[in-house]
Amino acid sequence: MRKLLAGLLALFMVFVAACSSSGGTGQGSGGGSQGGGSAPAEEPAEKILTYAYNFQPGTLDTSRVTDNMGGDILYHLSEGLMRFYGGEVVPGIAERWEVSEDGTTYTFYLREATWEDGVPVTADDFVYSVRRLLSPDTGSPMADQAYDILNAAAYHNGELTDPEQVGVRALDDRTLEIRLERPVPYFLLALATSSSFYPLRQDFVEQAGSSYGTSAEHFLSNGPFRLAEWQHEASIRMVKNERYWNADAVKLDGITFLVVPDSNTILNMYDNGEVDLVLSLPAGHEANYPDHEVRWFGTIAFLEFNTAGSNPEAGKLMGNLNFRKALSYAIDRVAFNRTAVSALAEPTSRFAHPTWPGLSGAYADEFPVENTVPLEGDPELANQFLEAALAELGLSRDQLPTLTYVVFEQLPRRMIAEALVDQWRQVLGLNNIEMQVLPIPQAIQAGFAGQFDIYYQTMSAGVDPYLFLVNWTSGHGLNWTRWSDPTYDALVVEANALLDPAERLAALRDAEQRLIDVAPLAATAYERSAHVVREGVTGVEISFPGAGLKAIYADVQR
Amino acid sequence: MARYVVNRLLVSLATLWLLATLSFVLLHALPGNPFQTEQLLTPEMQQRLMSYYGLDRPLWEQYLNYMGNLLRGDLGYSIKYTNRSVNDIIAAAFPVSASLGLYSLAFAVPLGLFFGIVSARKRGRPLDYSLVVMAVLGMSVPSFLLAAMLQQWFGVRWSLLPVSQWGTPAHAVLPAVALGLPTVASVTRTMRASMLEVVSQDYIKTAQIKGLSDLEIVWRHQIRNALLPVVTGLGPLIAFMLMGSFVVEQIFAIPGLGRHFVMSVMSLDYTMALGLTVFLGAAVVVMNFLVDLAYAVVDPRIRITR
Repeated sequence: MRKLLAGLLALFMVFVAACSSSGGTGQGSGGGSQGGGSAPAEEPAEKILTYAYNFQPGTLDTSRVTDNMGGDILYHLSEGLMRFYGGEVVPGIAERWEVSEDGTTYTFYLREATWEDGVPVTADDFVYSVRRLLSPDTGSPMADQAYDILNAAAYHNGELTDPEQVGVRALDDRTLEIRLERPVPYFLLALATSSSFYPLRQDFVEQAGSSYGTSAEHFLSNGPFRLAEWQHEASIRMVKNERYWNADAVKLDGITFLVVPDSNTILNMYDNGEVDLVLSLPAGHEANYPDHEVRWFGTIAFLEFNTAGSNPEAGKLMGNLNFRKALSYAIDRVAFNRTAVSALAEPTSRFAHPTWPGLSGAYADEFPVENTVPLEGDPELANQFLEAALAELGLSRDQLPTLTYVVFEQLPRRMIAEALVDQWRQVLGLNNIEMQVLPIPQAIQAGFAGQFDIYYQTMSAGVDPYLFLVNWTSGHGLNWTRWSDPTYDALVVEANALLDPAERLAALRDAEQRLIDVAPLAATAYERSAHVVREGVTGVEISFPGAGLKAIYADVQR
Repeated sequence: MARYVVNRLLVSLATLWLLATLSFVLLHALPGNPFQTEQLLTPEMQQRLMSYYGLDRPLWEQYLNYMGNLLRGDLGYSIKYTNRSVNDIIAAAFPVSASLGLYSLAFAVPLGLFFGIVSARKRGRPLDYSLVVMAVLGMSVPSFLLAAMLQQWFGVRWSLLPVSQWGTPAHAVLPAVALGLPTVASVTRTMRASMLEVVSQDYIKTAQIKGLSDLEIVWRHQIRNALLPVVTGLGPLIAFMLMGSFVVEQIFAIPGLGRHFVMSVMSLDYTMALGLTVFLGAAVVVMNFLVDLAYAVVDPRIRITR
């Protein structure tokens, strides 16, 4: 009887909840409360590009956005000083710019442009955006993106409290000056590919308060599209912004982004014609879509060796150069990537992402390194290195300390770990490497705490060799290897102070060479991903760096 | 009666307090922090964010703070969904999960009852066997497989229904079926077993001796009495459906609660995970409280004994 009543009450509650649901979900912009019918059905004549991805942006607040999806959406809603499009930096709100001879002062001349409500975009909007990004009151996880700017780190740390001292100022309404701490050759590229520097209008942002960037009414656009509706966890609807300065070049009437957590569902939707493109084909599906294209994913995959070890015993082994080399030479990177990572991964044993710019072409081609591990590995050499290591340490193969390989609790990472541990067992006869499978936050915690010996890492390559190489300098917060080498530190720091691009890149190459020779890391691959775009959709760019999807000038033929 | 109500109310509040406290302690006992994500942040930056969100203060201080806000009905701001309050997120997601659950129940329960009755009436016949096999299948096929198959056939191959998303009634059909089919199966089984048990009771024999027609016996005595255990089981079933299903919501891209539940714990979004726990706990406690009250009204003995 009692449970019967409970059941009836529960049923009643569900009913009440269901009745109120039509009002609850439509918490996006005003107007569209017809139950979320998809856009194409209502407006058949419109050109809408529809796509889907696994998760929605955490926020569209440019000062706080961290995920790629937020970056992709903001690329279409906002316009910064410059854009990255067609493989190069192109003017955005800045019509042109000048760089001082010492490479530390940038002057941007802004074009006449307006926000979606018709108010002009001014240099002050850019100043406000940088100050807000850095302000300790904002709590932005991306604030260090702006650390190249004069006094930015000091203001963010609280050492300076006056935002006026940050090296960004408006010379007049349409002239912006940015002063840097030191010359930063990749500064324009970083500015054009980052999502953290889009302009923000102070009056609007302050009125929205902490809600800025969480809904359509609390977002202000100055880009090719404006935010029409954001149904959380369901969809984001963008429509063409007629007030965009280059609106004539924008052919689409809108872009609809759908949140679909399951990758196979996205494929089904593509097959069913419900989406126009698939940003990233799930592994193994490439063959089903022969017209797919492949792009750099923008990450480097590598092994991190904890040179101090997870404990003193393990530290003896891990701190030994010959032992680390043995591990690295034992890996057949070609077979390993094909079987355990992805058919698309490009095997490598150096740290030179193919998208890093060199002098006229790619850094990777113009600045070669020596003594890299053969991509197929070298079992004989690997065993020689191991013998040398054991001789130096006075150990034998069957009495080695246990080494901990920390793995994400995630199928792909476990396959990778199995494959590597298996290669080390087969090639080197090592039976002392144990996998420790941990949930992602705990695994990362173990990394920061140095509670690992071996770790498979994938890290964003960034837009310049320096941005990757600086992570391995002594005491850097992300240098989990505990490796500390004054020679390397000096090479990296001095390289970046060089003004001549050829000298600078050559010095960075020397640093990379050092990293390869001392092997606290072992590079394994540059990751790639495959995407498909429906026939009849043109002008869609899916690439690295910058936003993954660049569809501002796309067109759709039904 | 008033004293009884006050009594129950106090017990309910104590339950909620205990739930919130335990969840708070357990969540914060998990290693790691919300800023240790795959997109690595330097320890300095993590520290700065910890202090921005007040997570660097002593745990008891955070606890008092949280409880203070909770008393005012404020569940705080999500860490992962920057600048969105947990109250807002629940207000948006709960109605979706709840209505999906309702759609499923609306077809699954009557259908299960019907199958159960038919199966029991045709006991030992081919129809009974096929229904039993179906029920076993329905209960053992995992929902992710069922959902994927429905999607593939009805969505992609035959293009009858949308593959995913939420909005129009057509969007609700496949997920409601995926969510409801296991329920059909379990209700069928329970109802069948219950029907067969009732049939051997004395009052059925009495009814037969009285000369009632077969249909009358089945309808007035057998089904009615067989329903009781089924309805008893409906309580937890409904609660389960109401909370939303991680798997079904994930596959059909439905913006419901189920996903938030799993994701918030995995990403250590303390406020979000706590808020959801407290919300669902409160729903259960409120339901029990109402049941207790109703019970007291129905059964006078309770008022006297307590």
